[in-house]
Amino acid sequence: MDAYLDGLLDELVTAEPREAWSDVLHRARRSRRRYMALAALVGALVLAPAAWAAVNAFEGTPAPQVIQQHFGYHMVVIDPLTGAIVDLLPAADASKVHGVLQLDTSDGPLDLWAAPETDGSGTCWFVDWESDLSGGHQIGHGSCTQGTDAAIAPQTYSDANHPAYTVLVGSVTGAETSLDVTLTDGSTTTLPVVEHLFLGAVPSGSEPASITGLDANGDVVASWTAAG
Amino acid sequence: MVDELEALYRERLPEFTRAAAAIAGDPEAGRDAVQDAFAKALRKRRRFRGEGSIEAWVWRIVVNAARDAGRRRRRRVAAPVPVEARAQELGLPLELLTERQREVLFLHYFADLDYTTIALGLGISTGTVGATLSAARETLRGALTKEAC
Repeated sequence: MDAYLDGLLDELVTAEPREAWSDVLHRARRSRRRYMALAALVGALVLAPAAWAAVNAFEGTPAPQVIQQHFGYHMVVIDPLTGAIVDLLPAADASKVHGVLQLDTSDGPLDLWAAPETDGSGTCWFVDWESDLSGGHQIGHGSCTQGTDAAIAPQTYSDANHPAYTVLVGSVTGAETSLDVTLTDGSTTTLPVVEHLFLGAVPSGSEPASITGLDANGDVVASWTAAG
Repeated sequence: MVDELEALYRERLPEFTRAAAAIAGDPEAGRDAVQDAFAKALRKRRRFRGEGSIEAWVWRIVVNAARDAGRRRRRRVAAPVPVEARAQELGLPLELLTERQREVLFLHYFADLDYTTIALGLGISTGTVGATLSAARETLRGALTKEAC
């Protein structure tokens, strides 16, 4: 009976092997690529909100009138001692002022607004806490991009009404989608880049020591190091 | 490790293919499972911790791939899979065996594996391999004897 059973089993499967080690290698590589793509997607879905959890869906928000007026104020830079106009910033198209980035802070939302320059050569931006807009506090801080800007051009801004924070804001010229920022105390933070602008609220007194600009693939596209 | 996997593939491909085809129930699905399993072994080779032979480790991956291929095939096609249809033609009552009995029988018969390698390949004890194989043979013997009478 065992011999009969063996005979039946022998006839059960006739699967001729087709040797193809190159196919095995191809499948291994293809699968790795698929995993990497999946990992990148998962990273984008999971890590990005974690890193930038404070950033709300703010881009494109129409600016209230008071913000549009602030863009008007920032057309000129006046010497506070003499009252003289020391710099004339490019004119911004106030009708196109819109939200770019918004951070949630313990002092409430911190907004970054922008508008194209009227001659199309760049962008003017303005940053302030929402709570300051109707409180009679000092107006926020703004500037306009210029053709001579560095690849990463950060500025810091402190506001007496918000002593816990130093605002880190600025522009980039390349394909950056995020910035890895190292502060002078050695701590690090990641900031999103939207419309070539970035915004962060770091502990008061902090200054950026170095900034690395990363594109959507995570490749380094620019870097900045504090002078001195 | 890559060289060892390639050597194993070239040396034992007929056994891998036949056993995988039997477990998957379909020769084409079995071939595909072997290719996928070796690709997976290549990717995961750093996870091999030397517990048992590389061959036993690869067999485990092949068996899992063949099982998955068989389940996918059965879900997709309502008709009996080729190996089951062939068993019916031969009068071999495979349907009387459990999945584990079939796998032990196929690995023993088509791959000529020893009990230790089968045990490592299926994640069961060596004693279970012997008992399962005996039970499978007994079931088939009994059914065939009854049919002959």
